[in-house]
Amino acid sequence: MFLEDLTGLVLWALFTVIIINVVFLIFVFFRRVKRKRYYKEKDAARIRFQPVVAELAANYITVEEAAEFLREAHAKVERDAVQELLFSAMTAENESRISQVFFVLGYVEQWSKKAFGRSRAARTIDAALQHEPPTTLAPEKSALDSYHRLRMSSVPRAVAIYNLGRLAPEFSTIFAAEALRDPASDVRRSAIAALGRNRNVSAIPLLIEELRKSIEEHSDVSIRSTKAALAFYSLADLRHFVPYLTHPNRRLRFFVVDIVRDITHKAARNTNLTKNDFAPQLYEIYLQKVVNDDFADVRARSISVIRHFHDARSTQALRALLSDENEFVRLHAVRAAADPFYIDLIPQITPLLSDRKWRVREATVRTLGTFGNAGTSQVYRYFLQSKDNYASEQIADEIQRVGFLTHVTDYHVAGGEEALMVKSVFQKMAGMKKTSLMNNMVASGYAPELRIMLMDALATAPSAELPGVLATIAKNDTTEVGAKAGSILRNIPPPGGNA
Amino acid sequence: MLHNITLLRFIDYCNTVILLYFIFTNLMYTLLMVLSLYSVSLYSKFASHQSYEEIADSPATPPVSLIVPAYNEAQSIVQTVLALMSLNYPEKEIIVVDDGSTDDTINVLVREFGLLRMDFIYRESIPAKPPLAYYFNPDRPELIVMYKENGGKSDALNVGINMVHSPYFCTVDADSIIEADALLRLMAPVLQSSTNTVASGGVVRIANGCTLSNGRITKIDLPKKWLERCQVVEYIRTFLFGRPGWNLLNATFIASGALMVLHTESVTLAGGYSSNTVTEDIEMIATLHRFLRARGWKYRMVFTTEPICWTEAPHTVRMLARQRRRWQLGLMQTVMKHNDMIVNPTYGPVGMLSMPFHAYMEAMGCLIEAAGTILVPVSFIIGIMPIWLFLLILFLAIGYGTLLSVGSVLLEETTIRRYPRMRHTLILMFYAVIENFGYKQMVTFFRAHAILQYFFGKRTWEHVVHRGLEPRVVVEDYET
Repeated sequence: MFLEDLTGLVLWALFTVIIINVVFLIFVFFRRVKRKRYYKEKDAARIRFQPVVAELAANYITVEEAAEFLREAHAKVERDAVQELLFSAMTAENESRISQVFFVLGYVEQWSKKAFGRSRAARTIDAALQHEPPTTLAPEKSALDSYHRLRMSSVPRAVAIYNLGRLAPEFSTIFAAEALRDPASDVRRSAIAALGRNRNVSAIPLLIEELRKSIEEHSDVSIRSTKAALAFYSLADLRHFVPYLTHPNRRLRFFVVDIVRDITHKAARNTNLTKNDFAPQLYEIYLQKVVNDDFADVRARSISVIRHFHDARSTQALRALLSDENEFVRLHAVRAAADPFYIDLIPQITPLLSDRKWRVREATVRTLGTFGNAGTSQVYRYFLQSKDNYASEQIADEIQRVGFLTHVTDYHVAGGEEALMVKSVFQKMAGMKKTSLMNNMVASGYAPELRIMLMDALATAPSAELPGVLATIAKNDTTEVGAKAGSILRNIPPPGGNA
Repeated sequence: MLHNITLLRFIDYCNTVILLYFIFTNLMYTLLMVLSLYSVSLYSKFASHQSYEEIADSPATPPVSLIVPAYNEAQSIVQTVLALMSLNYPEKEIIVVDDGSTDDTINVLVREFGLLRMDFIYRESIPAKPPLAYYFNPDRPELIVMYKENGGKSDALNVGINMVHSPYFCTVDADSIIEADALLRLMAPVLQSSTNTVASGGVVRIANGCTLSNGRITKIDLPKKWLERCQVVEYIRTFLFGRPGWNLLNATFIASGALMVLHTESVTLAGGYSSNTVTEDIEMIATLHRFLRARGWKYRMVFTTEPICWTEAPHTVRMLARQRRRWQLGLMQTVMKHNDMIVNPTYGPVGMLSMPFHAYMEAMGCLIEAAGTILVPVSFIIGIMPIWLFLLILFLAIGYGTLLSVGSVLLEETTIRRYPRMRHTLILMFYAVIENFGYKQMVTFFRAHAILQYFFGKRTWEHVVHRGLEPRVVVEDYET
């Protein structure tokens, strides 16, 4: 009896699985249909409301006039369409008016309630409308904190903060500051990103405080998230970072200097900066205090900012740091000097070609390369004189990698001492068995004189590949290059044979 | 007579083991399904509000080195490198390691990218066969190609790591098609984590049937052959119903090396990739767990539930068998190598949950499944198994399997939705049901074969031959 029941039970289970699969199938089908209808209705709503949003964005109608018409969007799909239209029409000029429409239409209330709950939402909306300065209060401990930290609870709040964060900075900063009290890292990360995106200077102290928490209190929001938010600020905002450049916590100091470096680096992508682009107090503190910080990492990061001052004091600062006792400082200093403005520093840079740290040697060759022939001649001369195998290896590596060798035609054309120097460089490289690129150049379409010179250099220490390369040239080239290849080939001893 | 009774008792015992095995695995899969549903749906909800552009524009985003080990990849390597060069990521370097290819791999790269042979310094932090030649173009400094003696994928990866300059590197299979935002998607959780994230993996999809242009998927479609369609469903189930669940439990044990970001310093300190398994990606994850747990260092591994790359699935049963035997052999080698981690509380959820599951259910469980596939119907036909037991095992082995497969397609449809047309979803639903009748059992036999090979001392890599993915994924049998 029991077994019969068990058979029935199993059959029922099988049947249930089939039914569930069919339900899944029906669900997928109807979901597709529903999505299709949703997007169709959304497109219709977009067409309907787009002209009003465009007029609002262009300041042809007032906030009240726009709100009156947009209130007709009742259904969720229509409200979604209006929300998207308003956000996509937002620019620096109209963001305040568009944000006010979000307030009037109830979007802000809806997001705030989701993010903060009913009572905190009302208080925060009032504060935002009255443009109160943003402050962060200590997080309120609640018995529900553990629940609030769960992603199923925190994700909707983080999404709400994301939307609030897209409002004009004078409004969004208040909401984002309030969200910094949230127990969930997703929500706080969303708030930090919003504060950074909006670049409201009143949010800088809040973000620095978040950075401090990440450093000192091991907050669950990463240092990188806060750093990335602060890096959104522009060169004009840098004076607000000045108080933190002398913070007692050296790690915080380091991160602030690093953020200033990132901001400067971003600004320098499009324009050649000078000291006039920086706030005077920032300029002074960098040259007086930051550059002499007792924490080497701070000194190292400071140079990337100082290099953009492009004046005598920055040159002086770089000169001092090029001989710093710390390798990272030297590394950053030599990288920072890669600017034709600092060509006078060549005598201080050149000795770093034999630095005990290979990364410094590597950076030195590259930096000297940025000074054109004046720099590369130094590299070649140093290479020829150096008895240090490590330094020579590094230089040989870099003069291939940076493309010096493939651009030696200039030297060769110049003739005289320069041409002789290049020949010596080739000979030394052949002696070091760094011949692959030279073999390549011999076989390629360089000027015949240069190819002959290269063959002579390669013949001083023939590599295993050289006979093959020369044989091909001798066979295919009927000019003087081919004849030279043939004559060298005849003089190269066979592998394993006596010289 | 006595012999018969003993045999019957033995069969009865085997059937009990099979039943318990299926009950336990289905319970585990159900748990993983629930966790994955939770994880994937929340991820997709939040991901739509994340701006990868902010990460791409941020100067605070660290550089990443992309290591591409290549062995006889002349057909696909140029497309792969072009796709990597056009990846949406602020600062990257591409390191191609030709692992002694016997085809034209190195020459096509030299021709396509104007590379010149050079002699560079090689600094060995992880032991590996050193490069014999370097190829570089000063006008394209983001790409470096190295040629070395054949030493296997692990060895090629170790050579690549020795050349890395970035805090993170990303392994890339030379035959994979990478999504433009893939690296941003992988790096986003790394950047957002306050704990050192040592590994970040994502979803791999099957490219068969899709249309390609300039190394990118331009039209998503399903393959025509049943074998490839079953693999599409299988990949969806594995990547959406397995790995996100383990990730939520902080017990990631498997991540696809087709595209995976790793923390350079942690990998170097852990000794790099090991050459004594055939699935170096799984082994690397286990090694990192072991190394970091032993030192008590805080770390985490993350799994991104968005597709990051597309790969070519085997076109024939023979190639599929080779691939699955290799995967199974690699899994077996890894769990045996790290068997002291199994049920070891030192290793946290990995030791207590993930490792036992992968060792007993995923690695060795296929022997029980394969035995059950033969024994259960035979026992029923000769009358020694009651119908209720037969139906129950059938339900657990096949019926519940269809539920999991159909559920995974449903999850794909409701969250990530990469297959655009209704027809695709219906076909996937259909194959989610029918793959349980034949395909799954076939794969089980391939896996069981690999385990037997392992016990008989086989340790070598079986190479899977691909047809190539350009310009359209070819679905014909490679042997035709």
